[in-house]
Amino acid sequence: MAGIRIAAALLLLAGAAPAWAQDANAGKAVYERKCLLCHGEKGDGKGPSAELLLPKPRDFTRGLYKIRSTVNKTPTDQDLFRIITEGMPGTSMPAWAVLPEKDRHNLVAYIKSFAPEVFKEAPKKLELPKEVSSSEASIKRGKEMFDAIECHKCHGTEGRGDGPSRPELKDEWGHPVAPANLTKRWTFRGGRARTEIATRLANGVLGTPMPAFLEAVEKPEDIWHLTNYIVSLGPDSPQPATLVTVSAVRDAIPDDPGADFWKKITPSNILLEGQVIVDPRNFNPAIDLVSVRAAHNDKEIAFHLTWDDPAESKGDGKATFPDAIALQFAPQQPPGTERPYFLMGDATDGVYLLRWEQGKGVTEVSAHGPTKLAPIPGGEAAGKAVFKNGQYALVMKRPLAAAGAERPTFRPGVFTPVAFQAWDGGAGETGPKMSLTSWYYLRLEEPQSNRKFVIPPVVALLTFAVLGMIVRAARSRAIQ
Amino acid sequence: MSFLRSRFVQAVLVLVLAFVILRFGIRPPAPWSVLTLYMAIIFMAVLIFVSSDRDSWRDFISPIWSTLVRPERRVLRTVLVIVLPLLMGYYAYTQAAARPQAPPELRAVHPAPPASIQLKGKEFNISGAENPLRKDAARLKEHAAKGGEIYIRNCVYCHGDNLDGKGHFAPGFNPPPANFQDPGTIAMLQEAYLFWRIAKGGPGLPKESTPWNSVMPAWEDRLSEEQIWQVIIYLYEATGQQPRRWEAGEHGGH
Amino acid sequence: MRKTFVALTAMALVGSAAMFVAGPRLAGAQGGGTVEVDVKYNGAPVVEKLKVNKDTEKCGTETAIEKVVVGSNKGLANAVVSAPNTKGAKPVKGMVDQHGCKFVPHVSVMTPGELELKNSDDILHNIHTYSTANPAINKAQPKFKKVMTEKFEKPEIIKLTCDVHSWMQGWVAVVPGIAAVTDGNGVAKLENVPAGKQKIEVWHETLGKQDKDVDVKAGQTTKVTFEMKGK
Repeated sequence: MAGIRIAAALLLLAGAAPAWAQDANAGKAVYERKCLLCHGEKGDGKGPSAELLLPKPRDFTRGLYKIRSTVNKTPTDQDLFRIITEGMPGTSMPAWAVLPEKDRHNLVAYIKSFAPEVFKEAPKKLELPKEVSSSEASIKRGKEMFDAIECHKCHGTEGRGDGPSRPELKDEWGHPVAPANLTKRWTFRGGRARTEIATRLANGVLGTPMPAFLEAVEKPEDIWHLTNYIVSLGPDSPQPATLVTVSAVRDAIPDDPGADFWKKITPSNILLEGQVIVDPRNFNPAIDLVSVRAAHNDKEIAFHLTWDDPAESKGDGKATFPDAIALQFAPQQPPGTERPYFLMGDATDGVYLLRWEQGKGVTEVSAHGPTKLAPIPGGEAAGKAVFKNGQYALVMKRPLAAAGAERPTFRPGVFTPVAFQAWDGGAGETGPKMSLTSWYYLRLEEPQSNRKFVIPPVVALLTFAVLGMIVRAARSRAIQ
Repeated sequence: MSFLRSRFVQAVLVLVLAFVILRFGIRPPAPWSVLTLYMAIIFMAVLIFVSSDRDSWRDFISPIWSTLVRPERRVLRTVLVIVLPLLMGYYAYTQAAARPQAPPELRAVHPAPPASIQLKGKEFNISGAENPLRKDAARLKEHAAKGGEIYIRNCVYCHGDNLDGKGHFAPGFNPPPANFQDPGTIAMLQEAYLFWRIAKGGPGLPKESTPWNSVMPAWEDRLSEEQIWQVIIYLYEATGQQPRRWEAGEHGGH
Repeated sequence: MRKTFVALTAMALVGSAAMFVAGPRLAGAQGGGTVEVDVKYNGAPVVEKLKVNKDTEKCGTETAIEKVVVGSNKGLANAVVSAPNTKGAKPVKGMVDQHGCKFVPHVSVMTPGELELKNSDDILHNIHTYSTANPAINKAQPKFKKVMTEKFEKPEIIKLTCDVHSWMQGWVAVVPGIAAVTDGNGVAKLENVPAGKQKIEVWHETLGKQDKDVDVKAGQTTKVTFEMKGK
């Protein structure tokens, strides 16, 4: 399949290239409307928004391009066209497929004109080794290679971008650069397709620490085994949820985040974004996803949260702070759809936070805005966190019922508003500098509902009875 | 092909054909609720058609009737009496076992704006207000450029570089950021309406628009009056949309 | 201050004397001479020390980035000394080893051609060159790839880095002419330099570049001294 696609791309490249008449002057007009604000008038990546963005906008004057299908420095026109069209996931570069194709081709010509000397050298196409489809054996070999060539130095033992070299990495402009989290394929700058991953491995990512591995693996096909292993590390997309279902159980709920009990519950993935309403604003949030599992019995409710964080941080109080996470609820189930302001409530309507902080453990907090937090005394909340290979796993527990106006009581079957907040203290996040969500829903399953076993037979029997009566009535009329 | 003359077969064929067209002929697929509604209407129409005269009705009813009473249709009858209840039971099972979905957010997308707002301590009339920067047509380009810079430094995270509401923060927020390219947003609003929404943000929304859930900041804290008008000029300039004009005697909203 | 004066006077004397002696003769058609270059630096050595948090069994627990190394008698080590305009120099193959999480030697010279990169550490390194005249390279060199050969055809002084171990830095000078690197005492010898007026260049990674014209006599050793200035 991918082979056919490559062949098709090559055909396009060979056959259709002359048809793409490129006009750098026309491209300049498009550039000024669509690209200038980030990439700058001179193409040096110093547009008005540049200081707020991470990764920084590309500096075209150096002619260094991360994503290319060539072995030398020069990308093909198609490489540039593809990045313009599809954007760069995980960065501020959007997909410009909305622009007419002609405009995008003209843009390619204009962008090249910022570094004409680089494009004097003809692009030399990379020849990928013969594709190896994924199999258990291939993934196993890929893992062996992953260890042998020490991908973990940057990408971490389980691929979460948490390797020991991570803090030292810089790009050729001297900006810090984070190694890819291999378990989040949807953030891969050059795309998540297998051919793309194999190309990045073989070619490296120019201008960044990621080296070319084509000649550095034992056999050329190891590139594909590595690709298959990387693909096996995580899902294709985050599959975000809007509802967190709290499973009903009869037995005690384990405190240990690593217990098998939690593995049986399907997680709900919640996307988090930067807080940009109050100062300090967080334009480049560190934590973008929290996986939530939850369960309750007749006494307590427990939340199991996992999220990626490259390093456990207790904080030095100056540049780094303790890692933290919080679940936010309305103190009382609000009437109708009304609820407190999503950003930790306001002066009149406060929120209840079930919060965990590195070094402090689980606390219950009442908030009236992101800077007005007050601990609620005398709670029974507890929890346990484990940090391993760039990931936190945390269990927070609390009784279902609660006394007082500041704590909510959880009731089965009710759609309860919930919101999430997270802080990567190691990245300098604390206070309002966080990643967060607006309101989602949480629902406690009704305990051991047997509806689905009772209702269907009743419906079937009723239908059967009605049909029988119709047949009998019809036949008796026919005889008359 | 004589069986095609049977009213019953015709009715069944029409229903099957309608279903196939509605289910597979529409891209993107219509939701089930809409499909059910359309199918119910078509079913009613078919019933009206087959019962339009006595002969037609008799023609339609006869295969059903014969299945119910004729001794030679006994096998079919027995099968139906067993299979239909089982199908109903299965349907009931799928309904009972389905996981509940989050309740839909019902909110007014473009609520009526207030007649006036308080802006930095002074009264500001929304109703009938025009963008003051449009008076000097010569400087419009300059204002649009300034507005672009304001946009890219503040708005782009949610509303996107292409002003289509697909900024990189957009996937995490519900309600989603406004898509300015959509003719249903800024093209049908007055500039003063935008001014109100930008200045007062999510917290300034009325209750029917779920102010607690909107992540739109109140920009009056960060942008000057002129900057807000500049970014509004940029929004229209960059999308090629035209603002709605106040009609004579109109006081806000729509 | 006084020392500088003395050195400068000495240099001027040597230089003018050399010119006076060698001036009238035709530039060495037969055989060459030796130029002994003495590179001095009056400033303090610059060494950054830092803790190592990985691969400590190979890299040690502490490492040093030696930016300026000053030996006895103010001699500046690790400076590239060359006679860039000499032609027909004996080809010198480049050779750099990655050993103990350092590039060994820290500074080396080669004539345009091949550079052999060794990895004797048994861990992953990556060769990341900041070359502009030559193709920029960023290639992984895992533990099992003991030797890698790269081609550098254009004259250029190339910075070598390893992103896995960010403190690793090395320099390879691709010089078409005769070149050498100063030793711990700041001395380097250029052998078989064609007689006649030759430009002698000195380059140091942090102290920059200087050049001087020197008259080389066949079969004799000409001494020349450079005084590098702090930036």
